[in-house]
Amino acid sequence: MIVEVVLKGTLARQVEELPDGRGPVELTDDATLDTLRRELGLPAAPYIAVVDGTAIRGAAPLRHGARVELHPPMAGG
Amino acid sequence: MSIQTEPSTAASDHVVVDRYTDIVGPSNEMLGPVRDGGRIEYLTVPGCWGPMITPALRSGHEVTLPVRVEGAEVGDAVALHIERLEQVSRAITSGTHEGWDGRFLSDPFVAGICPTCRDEGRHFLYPDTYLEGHGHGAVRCSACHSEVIPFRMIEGYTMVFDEDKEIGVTVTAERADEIADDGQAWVGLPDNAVQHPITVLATADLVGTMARCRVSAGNLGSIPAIDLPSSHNCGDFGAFLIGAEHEFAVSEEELEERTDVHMDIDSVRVGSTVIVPVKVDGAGIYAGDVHAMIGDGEVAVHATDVGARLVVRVEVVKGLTLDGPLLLPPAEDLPFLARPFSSDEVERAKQLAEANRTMLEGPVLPVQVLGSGPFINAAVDNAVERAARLFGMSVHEVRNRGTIAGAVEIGRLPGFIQLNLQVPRPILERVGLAPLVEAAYGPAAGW
Repeated sequence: MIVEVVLKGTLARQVEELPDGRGPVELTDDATLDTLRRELGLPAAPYIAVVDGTAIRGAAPLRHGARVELHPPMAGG
Repeated sequence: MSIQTEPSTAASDHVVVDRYTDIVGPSNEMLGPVRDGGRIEYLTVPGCWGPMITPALRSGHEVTLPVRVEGAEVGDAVALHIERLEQVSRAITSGTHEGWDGRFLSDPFVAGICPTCRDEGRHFLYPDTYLEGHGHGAVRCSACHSEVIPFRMIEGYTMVFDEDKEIGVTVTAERADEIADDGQAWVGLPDNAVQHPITVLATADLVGTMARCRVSAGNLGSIPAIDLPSSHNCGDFGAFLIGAEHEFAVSEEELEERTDVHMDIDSVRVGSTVIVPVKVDGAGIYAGDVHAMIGDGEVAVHATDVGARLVVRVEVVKGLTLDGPLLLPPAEDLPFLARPFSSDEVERAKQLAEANRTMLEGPVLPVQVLGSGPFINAAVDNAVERAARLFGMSVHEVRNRGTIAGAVEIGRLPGFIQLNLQVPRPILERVGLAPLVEAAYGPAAGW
């Protein structure tokens, strides 16, 4: 399957294959969020993943055509 | 009036707090106790940017130590009536940020490191630092003298305030440099504060811009049932603790132990009442992160963090079990649809109802239920679920009431919101909120 990946914040410059921080990524049909993270070469940091508008955790399966946003740790105030 | 700053067992009428922490939770030393009905006077320090350039602080935040409230037990709530909130700082620096790659573990707010000390086999986590010069290179590791600031201010400003703290103006790089020379005094940092004065960055990307002050408290409330970095005592930033590789990692279930009092809501100001859950006996009421001004949403993620003097009167509400805070803002801050009805409106509604063979449900009064989550929709769901549990309504009833006689307002992006509802008085009476709501807005008119 192919998912559309959008890397937010500092993640946007950490994946060479996605120089603009976004683009399609091909995965096996049983891929999960953790699979995607490993495929992108990202460490197991506490990202927030939003798939088609819903926050999900690492073991959640992905589906073909999904839009996957990964947000790096953020705080402020 | 008795004033005390050291812990004791005798409850005081007035407790003054001028000691600080980065972590909030059961491990905190609690000051006080203050008696039910007594006052706490906090001397707060800037919440965010100053602590963010001080990697010894494990939160990117610095708030006051908590105060024990006499008689507050787990399952109760404490109402905090804000009586006084005065800005101390005469100048601050703030702006947008990004983490500095290689200078933190997982989360730059929680776990700053000195990479040089790590590579050379020394203790490298939460390094002690000192200041030398101005700008991003000014924060130096006390052990190896290398630059260790864990954040970069992408674009920012240095703002000065008038004597009355009613107007702020952003200044030139030359003036920001002069202010940086004496930052401790300009920011008004007390001796007990750990943070560096943020003015050391001397940032001046935005010059000559004026802003109107309206001082509000970003953090005010009770300690969570587990230790959390104070910046992460909320569902949006707290979500990044799940699965983190530092010592404050939590599970999804543990994050439910938060009290959600890192709110960044501009209505948490003089005249408002914040009602917070008690998740540790004694409540542990702390404060900090005061802003000179903060627009809804805080789209820069950082506002004008200032030191302040904050006085709250505490009132224990027995048996009011809350998951997160409620807010009764000043009436003028309520959105149009959530404002109390006038006698004339009620009379017209009665006539309209009667003409349609319907009886009105009775008097209603406004309450804000606060919610948080990793993003705005999740925060709204959180507030709706909290309101449904508290008031004994279905989530659909909450959504309908919140749409026709209420509103959702954004406290902070990415995910802290205020759900405004007009709640029937019998329900407020049943849960124990009616006296507080009527004290804030008066009895429902026209009944």
